[in-house]
Amino acid sequence: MKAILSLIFLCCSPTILLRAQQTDAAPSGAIRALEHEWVEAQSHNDNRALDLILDNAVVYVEYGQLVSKADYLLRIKHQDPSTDEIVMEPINVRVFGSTAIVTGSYRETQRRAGMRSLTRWRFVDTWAYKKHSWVLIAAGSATIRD
Amino acid sequence: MRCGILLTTLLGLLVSHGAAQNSERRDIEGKLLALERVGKLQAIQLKDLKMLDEVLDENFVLVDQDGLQLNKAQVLAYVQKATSLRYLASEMTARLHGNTAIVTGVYRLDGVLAGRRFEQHGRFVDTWIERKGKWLAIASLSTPLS
Repeated sequence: MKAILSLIFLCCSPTILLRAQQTDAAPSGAIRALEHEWVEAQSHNDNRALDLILDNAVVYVEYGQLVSKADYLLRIKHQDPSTDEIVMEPINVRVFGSTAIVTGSYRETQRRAGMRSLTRWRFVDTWAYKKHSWVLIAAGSATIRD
Repeated sequence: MRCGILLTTLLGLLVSHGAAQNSERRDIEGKLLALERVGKLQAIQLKDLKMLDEVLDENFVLVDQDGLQLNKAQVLAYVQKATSLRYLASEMTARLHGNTAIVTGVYRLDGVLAGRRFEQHGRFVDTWIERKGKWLAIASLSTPLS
């Protein structure tokens, strides 16, 4: 029995553990952790974690286009993690009951054909508390023009 | 036999409850689209600051298509300052998540600000929450169409 329990414990990814803990944590802290987890999951092609973070009806806007959850996961699955790097800058979390708005900025470095480009983005993410956990229901960003 | 009748009745009740919920959802989504048209688009065009003040939450945040972040007071000041504004939207959809809603659409905004003519074309993602029976906008993102 102990062995089975240990195996189950070992099989639990940090994602699942975090989701279990987030019900007890303050919403703002849980959402900050999820924002960090989202970046980590994206940079490691971790679609299992992303599937838990994104609501099935998420509205995701990428370069002005609406992208479905399935299309986003498909892109991440085939993305070479060494070509893109995202560095988060300070974020702000506003909680409105079972809804939270996160605003902030990040730097994205893309490497294509030996060229390196740096873009700064400002984003707005919307999270909703559903079935004892926070899920991303909308996300989008705009390039910061200097 | 009696068991079958009970099961049929129960299924009928569930289906009718589901249909009522869908109808209610559609009603709310329709109401939100109307609110976007009147409370946002029309209010901006007519420079109706009173209406904007009513529909924007005190903690409202906007990220515009240049990546600038504005709060409610800054948005109201921007609208007031503009000499003329024309705001058109299409492809609008609303998605309800309990007492939170995401409204998306494509917009075209043009006008004159500080003596300079400008034109923007992009996609918006607005987040609304229901508070005491009233829907309030808490966040808005605008991003150029690629």
